[in-house]
Amino acid sequence: MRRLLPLLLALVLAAPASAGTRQVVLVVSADGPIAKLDPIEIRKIFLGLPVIRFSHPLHPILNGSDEQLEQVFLQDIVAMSQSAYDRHVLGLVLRQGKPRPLELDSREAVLSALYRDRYAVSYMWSSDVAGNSRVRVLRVLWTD
Amino acid sequence: MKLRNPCIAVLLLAAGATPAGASDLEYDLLVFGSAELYESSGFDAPVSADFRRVFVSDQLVAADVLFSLQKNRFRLFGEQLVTNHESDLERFQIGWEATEDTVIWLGRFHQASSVWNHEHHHGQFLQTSITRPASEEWEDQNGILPQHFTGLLVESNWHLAGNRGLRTAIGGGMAPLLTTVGLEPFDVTHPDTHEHQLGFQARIGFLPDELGESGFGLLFAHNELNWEEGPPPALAGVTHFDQTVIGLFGNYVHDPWRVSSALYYVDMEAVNALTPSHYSAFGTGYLQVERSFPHGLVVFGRREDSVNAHDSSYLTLFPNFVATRTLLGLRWDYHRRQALTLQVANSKSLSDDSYVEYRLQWSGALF
Repeated sequence: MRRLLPLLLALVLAAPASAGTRQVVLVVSADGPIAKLDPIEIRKIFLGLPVIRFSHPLHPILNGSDEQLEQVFLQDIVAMSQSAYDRHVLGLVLRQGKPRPLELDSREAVLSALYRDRYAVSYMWSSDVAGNSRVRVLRVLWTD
Repeated sequence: MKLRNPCIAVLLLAAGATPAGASDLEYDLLVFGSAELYESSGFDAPVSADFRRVFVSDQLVAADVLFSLQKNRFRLFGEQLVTNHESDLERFQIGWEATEDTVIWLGRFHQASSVWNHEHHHGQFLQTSITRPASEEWEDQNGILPQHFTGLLVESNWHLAGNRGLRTAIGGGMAPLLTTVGLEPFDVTHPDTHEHQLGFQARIGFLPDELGESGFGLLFAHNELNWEEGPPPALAGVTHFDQTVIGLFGNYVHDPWRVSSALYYVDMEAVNALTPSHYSAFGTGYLQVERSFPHGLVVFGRREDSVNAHDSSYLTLFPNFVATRTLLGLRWDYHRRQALTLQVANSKSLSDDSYVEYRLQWSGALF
């Protein structure tokens, strides 16, 4: 029993950490043809540079539903500060006349946009898309 | 969707358009606002009415309204600048994406061989300093190089091995006219092609990392500048000026530093109907250094200089052109997409006016 006690204690302490692990995943519409995107392509999409699949440009959707998600996006996807990214996307309109990426502020709105647009790409918490057959998870972008 | 102009949005939605990303027809509306306080001291001579118009009372409150509409490979794009004393259609372009990396534009555009203006256009918020270098000034702000053309512009990105890139821009169109108070660009809202001659520009930039901001390159322009209503007495007989510009530019961005520079060699041929042409040349350029600090603070400084500017007959048309300037400033991005900037500049114009300018500005991206 004395030997089991530390083991039980370790399991009890480890359980909450495992249950609390969060992941941010890259998602597209399950109806769409996008099956794979590499990290450079992902960065290009969210920087407003053209990435083409089956003759269609991919459309970035910024997920502003959660502050932590926004921080993960800035640090792990575009590798920029908020200020630098703002200036970059404002410059897209100013320099190239290119509409800015769509920015949505709720999980439902992001999912709805993904359902409508087969060429849209966004990022979400993995828990928000678990069991959702209408979206396809392409890769894990960040793990807590 | 966040922050879109509701009136325009309603009109576009009624026409079947949707915000970026949701359908084939996409739009965006963006407004850059700015408001400025200005004070100056140290003039060696009384301030002329022209000088006051250009430097003292100009554009204290401004809104730069950008509108873009994209459907498949076609784009429609406009930039309207509204200030406390003018409202000008600065750019109006119809574009076709020939490939995913090449756009062909028709319309009124900012010339390709100014990197500063390509980066910032009239969007004050995106420009760290309050004022632009004298060599990059707009025509109605005593600019010496033509900036607005109406014609054709081709912009391309080229992907090189190792994630490097090339960006090119080639343009040609109707050049501005010369007047006794500076350059006057072609006005698309009151088109009159009479007297306007042609100008061509090119820019090629190399990017060591095509997703980065650092790069360097070459600039070229050739413009034929005709008179709107004949030359002033001092230039009697000059039918027009042929202007050739060769330049170098560089941007180095490595957090927390940002350095940008452009140098121009400007060759002027005064074509005379009575005597052989007269050639002159001058150089002008700038170096700007910025350093970011925590809490959204940026300290910046810029030095502008010119050589042989006093010897150019062409520059006698621009007595208020700033031949040398040293500038220091502090910008504070105190809120997302809003900034306050304080700037002090010591300037000397071609007419030997030396003066110190103090400016305080709010700028922001509103929609």
